[in-house]
Order: sequence, then C-alpha cells, then structure tokens
Amino acid sequence: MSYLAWIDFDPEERRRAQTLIDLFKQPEARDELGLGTVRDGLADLLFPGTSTIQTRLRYMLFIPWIYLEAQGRKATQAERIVIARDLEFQLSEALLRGGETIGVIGRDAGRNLKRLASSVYWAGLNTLGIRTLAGSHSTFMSYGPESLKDHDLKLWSSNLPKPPADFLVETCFALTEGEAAFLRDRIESHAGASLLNELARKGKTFTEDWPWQVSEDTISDANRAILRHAERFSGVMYGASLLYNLLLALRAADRPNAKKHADADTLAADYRSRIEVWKSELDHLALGDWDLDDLFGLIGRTSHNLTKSSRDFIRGWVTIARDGTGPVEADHHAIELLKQREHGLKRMKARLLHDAPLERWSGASGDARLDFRWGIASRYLGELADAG
Amino acid sequence: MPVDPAFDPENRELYTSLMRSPDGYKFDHAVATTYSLDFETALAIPIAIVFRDAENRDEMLRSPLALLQSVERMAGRMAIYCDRGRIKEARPNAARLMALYEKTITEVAAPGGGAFHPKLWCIRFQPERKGKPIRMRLAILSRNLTNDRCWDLALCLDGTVADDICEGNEPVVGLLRALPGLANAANRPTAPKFLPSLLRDLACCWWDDLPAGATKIRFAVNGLEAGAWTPQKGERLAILSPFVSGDALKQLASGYDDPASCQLVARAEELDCIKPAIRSMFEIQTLDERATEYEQEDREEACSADLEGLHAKAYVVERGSRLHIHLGSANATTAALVPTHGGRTQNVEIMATLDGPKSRMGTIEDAVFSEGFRRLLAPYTPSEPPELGAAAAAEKALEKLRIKIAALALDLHCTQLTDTIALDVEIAGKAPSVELPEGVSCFMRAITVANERGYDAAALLSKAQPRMTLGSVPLSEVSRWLGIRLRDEQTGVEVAFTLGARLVGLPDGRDAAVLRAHIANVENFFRYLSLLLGSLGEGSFLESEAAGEGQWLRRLGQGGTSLLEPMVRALSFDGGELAEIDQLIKRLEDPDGRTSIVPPEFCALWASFAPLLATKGARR
Repeated sequence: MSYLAWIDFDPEERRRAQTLIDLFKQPEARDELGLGTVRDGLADLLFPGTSTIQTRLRYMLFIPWIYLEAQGRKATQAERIVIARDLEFQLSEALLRGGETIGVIGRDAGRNLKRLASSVYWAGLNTLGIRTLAGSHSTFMSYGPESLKDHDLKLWSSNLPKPPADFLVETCFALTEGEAAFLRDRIESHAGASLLNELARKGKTFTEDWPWQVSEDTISDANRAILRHAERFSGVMYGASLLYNLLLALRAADRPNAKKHADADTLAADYRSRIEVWKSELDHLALGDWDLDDLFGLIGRTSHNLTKSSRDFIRGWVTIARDGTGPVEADHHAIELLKQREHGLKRMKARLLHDAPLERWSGASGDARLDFRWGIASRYLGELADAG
Repeated sequence: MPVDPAFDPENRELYTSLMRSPDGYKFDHAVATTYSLDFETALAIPIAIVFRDAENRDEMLRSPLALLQSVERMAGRMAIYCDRGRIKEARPNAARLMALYEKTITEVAAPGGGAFHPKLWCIRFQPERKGKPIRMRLAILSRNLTNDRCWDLALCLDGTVADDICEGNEPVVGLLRALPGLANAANRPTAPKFLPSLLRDLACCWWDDLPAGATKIRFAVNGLEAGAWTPQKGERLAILSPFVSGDALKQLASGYDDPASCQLVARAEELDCIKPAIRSMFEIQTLDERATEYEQEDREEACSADLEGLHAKAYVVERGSRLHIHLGSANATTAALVPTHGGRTQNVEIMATLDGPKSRMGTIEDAVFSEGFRRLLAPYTPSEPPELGAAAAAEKALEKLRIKIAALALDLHCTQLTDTIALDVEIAGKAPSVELPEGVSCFMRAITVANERGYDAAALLSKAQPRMTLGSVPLSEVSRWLGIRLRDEQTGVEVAFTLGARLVGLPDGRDAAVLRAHIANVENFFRYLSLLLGSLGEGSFLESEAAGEGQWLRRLGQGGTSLLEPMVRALSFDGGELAEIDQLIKRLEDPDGRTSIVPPEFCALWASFAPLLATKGARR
C-alpha cells in the first residue's frame, strides 16, 4: 500500500477536510454571516433526515440493502468494510447502467470516490428509523451472519422492503409502490409532526419555489408557524447578505490595485438594485409582530446551539430592517453591525476590515436566499408521488 | 500516461492506516520519531494496532480498558522518540495510563542544538504462515504525533525483507541507529531490545512499488553528520513549506533566474517577515484562508491554536526529463537546511526523494498544482510583520527557558512510605544550573499528583537545593512524567509541557498496581476479558454503544459456560490470548492477599484451562 497522500488523523478529521474541499468546489456557498445554526435548525424541524449533500430518496434503501449484503458475508469486520465499499461502487455503476444521470453519487469520481453515499445518508437513516441501532459504519460491520439471525438484535427497520435481485447490476432511482409506502411509514412514525410528513401524506408533487408558498390547508398550525419563521428569517437575512456584498463591492472599487474586481462598480449597482427590491418586499413579512424569542426557542429544541452573539446579531438586523427609513447603505448602525459580526466570526480574515481577504472575494458571497433544504425535500416528495 | 496528481486534496489517507498489517501478516515491532507528541494521540496508536478496525479515536480513548489492554500488549513492541520538552501537557486520565507506556517514549535532542524534527514510522510485520518473507513499512511524514489539524503529507512505502542489503536505506538505518544515543547521556534508558534486529531487516528491505509514478527512491538525513541535504538544482522548482527563513530561501532560489520558475507556498505570517528582495525571487501563494479553518459558526470564540493551516514540507524539482519530489520534515529554514560552522545543520531532519520520468510523474504543474490543489491557493499579499507585543516577547523568553530546562537530566526517586510512595526529584549529571529570570517562575509536579499548581522549582533549578519533594502517591500512580509549567508573572503568559525523568527505586509491582487500579471490579474484569478474547473477530467490544453494549458482555457475564466458547476458540487459534489471561489473573491477585477482583466461578473455569495452557507451552 505505497502512497503519497494528504494525511488525516481520524475519520472525523477526514470528514471535516472533505467538507472543506466541497466548499471550494461550490464557490461562495459559504455561510459568511454565521446564519447556519438557524438555517439548519429550522430545516431539521421541517425536513428531518435530509441534508444538503443528499441527492435521491432511494439511497435510503440502497444503503441498508448494501449493508445487509455485506453483513451477510462470512468475513472479518475489516473485510466487510471493504466489501461494502466495493458494493457502493457497484451501485453507482448499476445506476449509470440503468440510465440515471442526475444525483448518482460517484458518477464522476468512480472508484476514486471519497465520500460514499453511505456516509452522506448515515445520519438520515437513523433519524427516519430505517437504521435502528446507533453506531458508526464500522460498528455495523462488526455484526456478521450470526448477528443477522439474532432476533433480539435490531440493526435495520423490521419491514424493510426486499431489494430487487439485480439492483447491483442495473437499477434506477424510481421507487416501487411498496418502497414508497415503507418510506412514508418511516417518515410518519419518526417525523410525524414534521412538514415533510404532512406533505408526504398528500402523495403529490410540489413545484413551489419556497416551502411557505405551499398552499395546503392541511398543514398544521405548528408547521405553519415554523414556516412563517422560516419565511421571515430567509427574507430579512437576505438583506444582510446583499448589504454585505454591496459593502465589499464598494471597498473593492476603492482599492487602487484591485485587479480582480475591475467590475466592482457594476457589482455595486447590481447589489443596490437588489437591495431596493428587498426593501420593497419587507412589508409583506410584517416584522412588527415577529416573536424572535419564539424562533430562538424553536432552534433550542434542535441539536443546534445558537450562541448569544448570533442571537444579538439577528435581533440587531431585524430591528434595522423593521425600523430603517433611509437607504440601508448609508445606515451606520447597519454597517457597524455587519462589521462587528464579520470580525467576531472571522477576526483577521474579515473582508470588511482587512484587504488581503478582500482580494479573494469572488464578487458574490453567500448571496442566495435560504430555502431550508426545500430543494432536496421537494424532490423527495416528487419521488414518493411518482412511485408505482 | 502520468498518474493522478499526488497533491490533489482529495487524495487522503488515515494516519492510523499506517498501522494496519498487510493481509496475512501481523504487527511485530515499530520505531517512530516525532518532534512534538501528545499522550492521547500516542495512545491512539496501540489502539489502532490492537483493535484493527477502531476508526473512532475519541470513542476508543474514552474506553480506559481498551486503552489499558492495547497499551499492555503494544508498549514493549514500540519505541517512540521525540524532541526533549515537546511532550504536550497531559490530561490526568491519559497521564495515568502513561505509566504503562513510559518505557516506550524516549526524549532526544539534536546534536546540532536545534530541533529533533524527523517524523517517521518504521514498522515490521511478521507473516502469519511460515515460509513467507518478513514485510516492512516505512512512512516519512510531515505530521507530528499530535492531534493538530493541518495540511500534512505522508509518503508510505511497503517492502519485503530479502537477503541482500538495499544500500539506499542506509540514511534511515543510520538515523534509527543513532536514536538511543541522542537521549540525555546522564540518565539515558537502555536501547529497546528489538532495535538491532529491526535495523538489520530495514537494511535488507526492498520497496515494492513506488507511488506517484516514481522509479527511484532516496533518503537523506540532516543534522547528524557533517554536510547537509538540499534539493538538486533543475529548471523549475516548487516549494511547500509552512515556515521559511531568508537564508534558506536564497539558497534554494539561487541558480533559477526567473521568479516564474520558483514557486513557493508558505504561511502568510512567515512570509511577512522575509525581506522583499528575497520574496521577489519567487512566485508566492498561500493556502486560502478558508482551507485553514473548519466550519466554526457555532463557536463563540474563534480558536486558532488547533487550526494551523499548511504544515506539509515538499520540494518538487523539474530536472531534464525527470521530476524529483522531496518530502519529509525539513522546512525551508536555516535550522533545517543550512549547515553551521560544525558542518551539520542545527536540526535533525529526514527527507525522502521520489524520482521518476516526467512522462510518468508529470511536470510540476501536473503533479503539484492540480486543479483541486490550485483551488485551495490564493495569491500572497504582504502585510506588515507583526509587532512583538509584551505577551509574545514573554512567550519567546519562556520558550528559551523551556529548552534549557528540558536539557536537564532529571531523576525521580521513589521511597516507600506506609501505603504511598514519596517522590523526590533530583538533577542528575553535571548540567549547569538554570537561573530563572526576574518575574518568571517554574512549577513542577509529578503528573498524577493532586497539587495541580505544582511545586516551585526555582531552588532546584539553581542547584541551591539538591532535591525537591513532589509529594506522595499510591503505587499505581507512580510514573516518570513530570508536569512543568513556566509562568511570566507580569503578562500571565504560561508555557506548560511534560518532561520525562528516570525513575529510581521504583518498587516492584507498579504495572500490576496500575492494572488493578483500572480494572477495579468484577464487571470491568469481564469487560477486560472480552477485550482480550474479542480481538479474535466476532463480537468485538466495539458494540459498546447503548443497544449493543449488553449483548456480548451479558452473555459473557452470565456464567462460566458462555465464556467457554471464546476461550476454546482462543485455545485452538493459539493467538496468545490465554497466556495473557493467565498473566492477568496472576497480576490481579492482591499482593496483600485481600479479596481478588476475579470471581471464584471464573477461577473454577480457569482451573480447567490452565493445564491445557501448560501443555501447549511445553509443546512449543
């Protein structure tokens, strides 16, 4: 096993490095103002078990099938880990053979794939009760054929559908009716109160751009309330991202040797007009009666830890959005708030204060509106609806 | 066709995979070197060997019995050498276990007065079946035996031991041979018994296949003998080095006329301290800010200490039709690369060179600056060099003091009291005294002593007082490690580290006492047994999470019969587990004849196994 490679000390470290590398692949998909805690907290409440790097719902079945296959082999734990890995590669090949192109994990990387589908879905499988035993991938591989016969030992949900005989030869992402029923049942029993469950029961496809646009009258009051928070948060904080980018563009335009941002003036004009549109839509959010303590309380119920400085920043920005009258780019409170926030998060790397990091600005930093993983969730809902 | 770019960030391996035996082989012995070391990371190594599939470091480190067992098995089969004074301050739990591990770690110093810097592993694997050759693994890294999260590189080579000598390995063999002699002469420990045979095998080891398309491998060591390694000149050069100095950069760039042919990736704060004239000899980049920090949005306080960014050291040269990739421990600094008047460098360093045709290895552009790696880089923009604040100045002064104190040979004398051991520290040999500067204090404590503040060591260091008492501890908490803390009163800056002493007059039975103290009760005894037997495969103890935990342990604890199966299996596989159990039972017997942890039911079961063990032993 001779190699020359970057080295990580443990899987956790490798995971972090992987996240970092992914970050570089999607330029500026970064949480510049530290809004991730609220974003992820609300998304976990609305669409539990999902994550932004997931692609297609049937992986929730492919992974258990592959693991059961590996666990059924007479082998050591280490050998089973290798077997499962190999089966995952076979799966991507089988999906490509079946004509799938979108969302195939490992489509481009092939056997060089570093982040396996099993690791992308591992936590979600547990959240939805498809995987019933807590533990790491390698823990699972310590169970062999004898353990599978042991009825006291529950590794996987008992009514897990049987895999199609040839799923490792040629397969696709389309769910069978039985599979969709199983998944709906899992969502029902493990995320019954969630919006994901309420919409899954509808059995239809949703094409709305944002989850709060879904006009189903059967959405419970509790979920309506969460959605209202999500809509307001997404709407209000979008303005902070736009102003942040505008301020960067203005700073870049001021710099005599800002080679990279010769178009800084154009960028600034663009952000100005986007901010105008944003301001005109604020009324709709009725910020006057937004109960932020209620929002923070909701986040507190999730596994995400909202720090005091994040709460202060959000409160501060909401006040500015609600009470501000003149152009926001001339609002010293607003500018000061963003500077403090960025400095608090990034210290020497804060772009509003330091030139070197500004040089590395791409022109658009985290300037997309938050959708709380609606993109993933609505695709899943469509896949459930299309099952047959 | 060129191979995949070696420096692509997606090209990653786990440190602990270095310890994994090749198929059909088992871990035999290993020597490692490192500059700095922390106990917890060092403890993760025997764990990775004993529980081959243990991937979760933290989970394992929380399991004291697993630690105990892996250290017990592995301590005598490894030797780790690190720079004196560079063992990090230890948490009490890890420190307590280090009693069993203390002979494994030896602190050494570079003869040239600089840092002992090499980071390597040399591991020997024995075949499980007779008639197969011995195999070895050599890893040259930029990563220390610590939990720093940096961009570090490793070169790992697997090879087979043959009858004839492989001349190319001589520099590594020479370095490893010199190690025991680099420890403090006044009280140095004896060299590990397995070292000579390991060195003989390394000398005759031939590396199977080389990575990155290379066709040749060379090694070089700086700082032991006169003369210094430096990369051969070519047409183009690329350097990755976190730390840099003006002299070394000048030496590296000489002979290259165009800055575009000399590329440099280093840390920005280091580059800021280099003269612009020297910087202009290179095209310079740094690792993008985002590549040096992990997502930390939930953190109240930005914490930079554990996110050190670039740490890899590599020199890549295009030379005619060939590419040379040099990598190892040497930074582009004077201490690492430029010989002093003694003719050798201050630091001890090791470098490996992969050499091959460009047609296979690619050019610098292909091999180093792949698309994936380029994404992580950003052009360097100079800033003013940081002003040295009072705190930074104090830290610098304390660092100097650390080196002086670490150079002392310390003896830790043990005296048996009624039920504890009194510890006294004494300076061995004829080292000059160390006077603490005004306003600086030094506190010392035995690492397991309850007095966390430590004892004021000023009088001991100045030799005004020949011995200093460090309190008394139970036998199970005696270890040779001292916690040392330097403090600058004015700024409040502290430097803390762990230093090894030689134990003098250690009463018998300390290791058994550690074992008894950790096992402590019947439940743990059964857990420990499951660990001893569990490594046979089925039912690894890793099921220790809520749901799994009971299953195996309960069956084990339910009485003699359920233990019978794994024990019979152990008997037939003959992997030495039963001998370990035998030893365990003997060591758990309380020397004072009070009640034993081992339950009588198990003793009864064991009575029927012991004779079998004896006959097996006789047959061997």
